[in-house]
Amino acid sequence: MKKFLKHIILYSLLLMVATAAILTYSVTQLNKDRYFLLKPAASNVFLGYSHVQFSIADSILPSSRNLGMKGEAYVFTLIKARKIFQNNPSIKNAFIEVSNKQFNVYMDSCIWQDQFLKPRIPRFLSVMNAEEFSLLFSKNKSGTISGMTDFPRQNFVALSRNGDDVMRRMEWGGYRSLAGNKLPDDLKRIRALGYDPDTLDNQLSLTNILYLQKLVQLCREHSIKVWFFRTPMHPKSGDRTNEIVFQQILKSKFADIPFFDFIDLDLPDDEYFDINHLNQKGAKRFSGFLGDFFTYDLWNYSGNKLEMIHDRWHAFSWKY
Amino acid sequence: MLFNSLSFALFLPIVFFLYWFVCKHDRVKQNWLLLVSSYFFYACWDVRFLFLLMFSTALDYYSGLRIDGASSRSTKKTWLWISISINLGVLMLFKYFNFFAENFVSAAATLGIKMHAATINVLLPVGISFYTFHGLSYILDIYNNRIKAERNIVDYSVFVSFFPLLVAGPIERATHLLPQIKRNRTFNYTQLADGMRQILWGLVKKLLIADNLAMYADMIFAKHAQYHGSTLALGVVFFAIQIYADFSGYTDIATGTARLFGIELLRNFAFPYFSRDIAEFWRRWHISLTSWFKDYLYIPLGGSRGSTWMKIRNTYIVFLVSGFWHGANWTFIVWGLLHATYFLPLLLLNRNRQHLETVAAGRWLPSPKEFLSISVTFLLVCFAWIFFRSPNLSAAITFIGEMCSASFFSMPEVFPTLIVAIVLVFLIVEWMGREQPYAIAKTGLNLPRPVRWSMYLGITILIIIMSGKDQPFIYFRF
Repeated sequence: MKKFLKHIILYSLLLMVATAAILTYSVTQLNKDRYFLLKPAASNVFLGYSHVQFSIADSILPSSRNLGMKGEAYVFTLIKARKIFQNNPSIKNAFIEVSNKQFNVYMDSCIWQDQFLKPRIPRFLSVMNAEEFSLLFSKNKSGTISGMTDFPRQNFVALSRNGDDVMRRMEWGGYRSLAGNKLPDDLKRIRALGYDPDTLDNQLSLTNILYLQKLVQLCREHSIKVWFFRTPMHPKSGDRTNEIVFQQILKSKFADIPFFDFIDLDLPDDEYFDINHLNQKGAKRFSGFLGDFFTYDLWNYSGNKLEMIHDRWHAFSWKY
Repeated sequence: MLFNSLSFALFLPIVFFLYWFVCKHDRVKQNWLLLVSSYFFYACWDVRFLFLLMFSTALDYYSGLRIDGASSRSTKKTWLWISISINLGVLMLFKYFNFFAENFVSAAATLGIKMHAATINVLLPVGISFYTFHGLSYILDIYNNRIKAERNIVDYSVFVSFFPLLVAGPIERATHLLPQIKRNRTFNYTQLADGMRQILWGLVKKLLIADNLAMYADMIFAKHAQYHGSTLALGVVFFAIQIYADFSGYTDIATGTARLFGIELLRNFAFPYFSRDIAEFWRRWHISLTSWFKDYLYIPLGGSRGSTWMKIRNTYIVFLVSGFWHGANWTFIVWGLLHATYFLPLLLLNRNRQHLETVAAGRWLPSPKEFLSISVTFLLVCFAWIFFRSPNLSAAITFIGEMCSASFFSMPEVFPTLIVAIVLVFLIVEWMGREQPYAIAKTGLNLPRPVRWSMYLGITILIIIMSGKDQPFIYFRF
């Protein structure tokens, strides 16, 4: 009995040492700066979640890179932005998407619920700091540990095979075009459900708002200028809920950051993929419109932004 | 609680420690511990179904006592049928009710009668097919005077719900498992070390082979219209190896875990893909289920005695029921009938027992004839797996049509070189160890301990860094 126990303990210790060595090797390798260089170099980065990922066709825009990733809460955006900003001094402007949903309590689940946390731990563990780790661990211990066990599996072999393509493999964002149009189905479903935005939960995700503040702070530390923007959304979209609260938060916590609101741009229905996202046709039109903002330096417009956006949109759409 | 989960990695050492170091040599305490831990293990899936398991256990325990104590044949028969009816009734309700209701409505619709299917939206209790068959074999064995009814309800409950075999077998027999539960278990280093080795090999099969292949097999079956025939054929081979590695991997973990508690389970797999004909395949694939059907269905139906037509009828009934046991879907029924059709010529020509020994025993390589037989058998089995894997019959037929197109002769679009290389090494190790209870049972035992341990450590690290995305065990859904 003693012999068996002794052997089991010894074997477990050896295994732990070997696993620690693998983890250390993977973390060290994954932290190498060369993996986080934007190619080609970009001055403008777009950050946010699915609305950004599917709406900004960055190839149309000058010196821009879409780093939006679906379902990504600001804590993860902050982790990746820190690494990317460190290694890309060419970045001068950060366009951060803010939306009603990102301030909603729903985003808490995007941070620590199993389905979101488990796949993200292997992609972010090597670059997150102790505070970020302890937040995730305190909110979901089993999910964090489970994600950590996936870390060597997802990274060790891939490191030797994928070369420099680490950001793509870690799904750190990038424009993704959506083909097709599911909007009619979504509208039918909403009609059937008797959609009422007032019945939706209006609790806030304080964690997500806090990490948005930290993200803004990080940009400032790197002398990167910050803009907030909101992508076009269908008038029936559920992501428009709690508008008053949304505006209040912007005014109270982010009053010094210019906010460009594109939510009400009247895109035709066939340019939506679904009720919340543009398809590739809509993304092309919207990105073309954003191109004008760079061409005519409209990001620094100091007048009534909403009026300017709508005036220019009508002119742009007429030409388009 | 999955065998390949962190919670099980915590659960198992705790139960192991309590079993050997707290309960020590007190068999009664050990059995209580096994029962409580088994119920906890099962409750982790869904605590509501624990009561169903307890009900099934109590029913068979009581029926067993009544059958054993009955003075007349008719009373015995009454209790036997009460037990069978309730056991199968519960199984039918949870597993087959919707299937029958939907098919009844479809059949009525073809006759022009409009009906509404009153389907029930219930979860399938995990392991129900397995523990129901445990209970049935116990009752039938008492009825047939093979065993006496068990009087100790704890011992009997451990027999039904022993956690390593509870959710996906092997389907144990009371004649084999109950005597082990009733005797004192002694701490045997060799048995325990062997158990650990078998668990390790089970994890290799599940995490390294099955889970990696699952990603590709799932992708190819889900989007079969997009791929060349050659890719679809590769997908079928991937699935064939996946389901073997998944299920036999589970069995290895279960058997190895049982050994840690001094209990030997029935063998469930014996390298089935090295079979030279379908009869041999079925002696080597899911052995505990095959032998269950042979003993409790095929032989009572008359077996191979009687006229040719009786043999044909019995063979088709057994394979039909076997297919239906896997799930309430026509795909499983066709899968079973296909195997019956493969098996029948061997039975009728009396050649179904010509390959009882391990192929190429004592040799490194098979003869060309053996190699050809193995390949043909594997292809036949693969063809049947298409039905097993497809969501419905029309999908299976479409898949076969697309696979057998001209594009079969083009290069496959999907070819994961590293995974294929790992699978090839796995098959070589399986071939080398085919005369053992599991492939690495004797591998490296003569080597010095540091070398042997390095080998085990290497295998464990390979699992850590190269396992596929978590997938549930396929047989849990049955």
